[in-house]
Amino acid sequence: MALDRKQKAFRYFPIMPIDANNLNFEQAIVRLLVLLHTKGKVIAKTNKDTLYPESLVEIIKESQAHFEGVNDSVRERLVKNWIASDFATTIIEGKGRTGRPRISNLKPLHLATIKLLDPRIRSQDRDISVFLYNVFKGTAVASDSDYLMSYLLEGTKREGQFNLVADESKFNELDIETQFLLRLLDNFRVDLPSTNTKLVAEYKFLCEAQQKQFLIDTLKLLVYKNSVPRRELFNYITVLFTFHTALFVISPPLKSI
Amino acid sequence: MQNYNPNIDSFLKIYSQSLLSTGLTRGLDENTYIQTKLDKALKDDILNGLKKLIVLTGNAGDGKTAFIQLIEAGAEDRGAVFSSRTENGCKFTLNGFEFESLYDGSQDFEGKANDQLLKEFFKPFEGSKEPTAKIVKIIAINEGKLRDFILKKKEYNWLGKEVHHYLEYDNFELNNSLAFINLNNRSVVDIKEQDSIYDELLDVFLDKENKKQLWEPCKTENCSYANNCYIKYNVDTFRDDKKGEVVKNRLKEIILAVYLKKEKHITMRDIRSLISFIFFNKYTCNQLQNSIDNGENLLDRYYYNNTFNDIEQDRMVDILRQIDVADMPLPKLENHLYFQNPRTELEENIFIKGSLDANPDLNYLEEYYKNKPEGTSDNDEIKKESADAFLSSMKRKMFFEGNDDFLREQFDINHYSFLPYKYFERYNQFLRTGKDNNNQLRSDIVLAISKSEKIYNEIIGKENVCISSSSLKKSTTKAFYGFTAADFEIVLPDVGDQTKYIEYFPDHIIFRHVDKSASLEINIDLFEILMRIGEGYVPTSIEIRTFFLNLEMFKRRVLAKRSTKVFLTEDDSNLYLFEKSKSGKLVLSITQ
Repeated sequence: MALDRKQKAFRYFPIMPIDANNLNFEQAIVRLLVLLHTKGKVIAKTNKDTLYPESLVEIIKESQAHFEGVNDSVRERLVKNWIASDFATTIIEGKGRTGRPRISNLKPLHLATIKLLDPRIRSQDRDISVFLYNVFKGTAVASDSDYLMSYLLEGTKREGQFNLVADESKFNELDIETQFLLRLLDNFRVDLPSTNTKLVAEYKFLCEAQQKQFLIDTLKLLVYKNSVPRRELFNYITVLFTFHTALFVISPPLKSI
Repeated sequence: MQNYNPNIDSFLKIYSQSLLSTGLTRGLDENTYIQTKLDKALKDDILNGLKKLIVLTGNAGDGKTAFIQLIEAGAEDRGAVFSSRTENGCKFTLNGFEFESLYDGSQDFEGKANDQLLKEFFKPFEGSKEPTAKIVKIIAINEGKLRDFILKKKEYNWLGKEVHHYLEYDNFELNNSLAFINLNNRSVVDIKEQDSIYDELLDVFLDKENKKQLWEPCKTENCSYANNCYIKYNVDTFRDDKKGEVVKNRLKEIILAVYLKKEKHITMRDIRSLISFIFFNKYTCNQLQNSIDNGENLLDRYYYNNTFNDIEQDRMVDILRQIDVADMPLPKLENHLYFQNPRTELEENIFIKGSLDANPDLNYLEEYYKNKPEGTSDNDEIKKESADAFLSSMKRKMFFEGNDDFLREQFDINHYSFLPYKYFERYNQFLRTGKDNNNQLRSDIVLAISKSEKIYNEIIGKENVCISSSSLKKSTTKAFYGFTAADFEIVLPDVGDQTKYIEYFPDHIIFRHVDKSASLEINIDLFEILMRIGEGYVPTSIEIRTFFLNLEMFKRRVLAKRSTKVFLTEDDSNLYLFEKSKSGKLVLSITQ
């Protein structure tokens, strides 16, 4: 049940940075990746066209330097469906859900997936990304050389302030699925945050131990980054983030008593 | 006539659910104790002071205490002087060596805390060098306790290193003065040896060469019930010159199947108890004679029915029930059996001819046969039960005593067809030899794993371990990560030099990546279901829940490896391969 305006008035950021409403945690994770990458700036605009899975197939067909063999309708359909099921999250356009599925974002398998986050699609993040960003902000965990960010950036390097491109020196060490993803994403640039965009609000944990536990648990999971498949580990990370977020939501009233 | 065999009373006490007493189920029973490798290879070394510390680990009932007591008895025979004897061990001197034994190193004793007991016991092993004192210490302890006690204390520098390396590293050679024996690895059956623990135990029970004259009181001249007694029939069948060996081997195969199921570790106590029940059931001479006099149908006490008894609570019989040979549907044979009196000449050909004079079980079988329902409209419950008892018993008897040549000729089956494991022989073939000619078995396992992921292209499925990507349920395109089959191998488990001291037969095969980062332990149930999946069988949800947990974990471990190819398909048969070419391009091509 959606909250009405009066109920929402009770939201007070220093106590509860999360908007109580229906949420989509995948979108929260994708937006967290954006904040980690831009160090706290939201990307609110894009100059990219609306993308559909078939748009990506067209790009693959044109990228003859990196792709080969997508040259008949069966193969195009295969690749399109593969992208739609394993890489992209789509929403259906138009009223009555009768339109074409368009790409809302790519599944968060790598930091480079933020290139295809479509900010025009309304988010159901409910500021969880802001909350999560505040967990990591200012800690060593949010620097490029640390466990989390180096894992998120694996196989790519920064180009300019925000863009990411494939790092050829480490590219061959990646699995075929990630190679495919990064080659595809090499055709896109990371959208820039507006120059006048403010940093997202700062949230200070009332209970610092809770934040520490969150960080420690994340690092513990990342110990297995070479033993657990990338897709699987991202699932675990999502579960962990969901769990800690839920704990956080439950705990403030208790602490305030 | 005496009509009484006192040995039967002793044997009955070995059974775990004995009505008489379970007094002989624990510790050393000299009448049925058999010499194992442990006795042959280690006993003299211990008594001659060649070992300073002997650690026995294993489950309750594995024979740890019995072995230690045997060492003590051996020492006493050689003139050892005992300074203390308690219920938890002894101290004695022999040939200038100070011996100490501890029957259970994992519990407190007489108010002394367990850790204190162990500290005193391991005192000579403190320090960073092998002790030089003339000592021999024998302890039975569980592995976890040993690990906790020794590895967490600084004072056991030398011993700790040996324990750690022994427990953690493959093929680690222990210092000569130490012997660590894990009786969990001991197998009571071994299909390739005729002197396995099972065989030796059976020889003790059967006394085939009449050395102990165990079965003299059961001869017709000494017992008026001999021709009607199920115990005599059971024992004589196994002692029979003509069919005894066959029946013995088939029982061995059944026990092997239980061993290979790996549901429960079969201890020495278990196997003795089981053999006792199979031969003697639970009743004394007097009780069984009363039953015979009262005209009871005693068919359910014959060895072939005892083996699969559906009432007993014994942990072995409990598992045997799951592989009851009567449960395997064999329609052609059943149709034949159902309408044939067990005493007919035709039925005689079905069984291997033995040299027994009396076959009292045929009387009981005939009684059930004659009391079957008369036609399909006869709904008399008692008659239905009779028919069921008749058919089940006949099938069980046929499994043990059936003539394979005749069965093959007439019904295109053999005794293996009664087992719930269609691939029993193939599984055992690899366990026996460890050889996989032309990687045929590996290919079949790879194909089965691929098929369990719903990839039905046999060539691709055999050449690659194919594992589906996680989110394909709603998609019309399925994606499978491919891992080259040649990077996997099937091997047998390795228990190192323990085979010097224990009877060992592998109880599973291992399918693993050559770099050993992912391995799958395949017991007989998983093997069976994998082979059936290879043939096109679709497992039920219960089977998936029961057998596939390890398989799922193995797949996840494999997925952690970097896949270099992805297969895409819309119809499970036409597969497209997505991989990196030598030029560095990502290429989509159709597979053959």
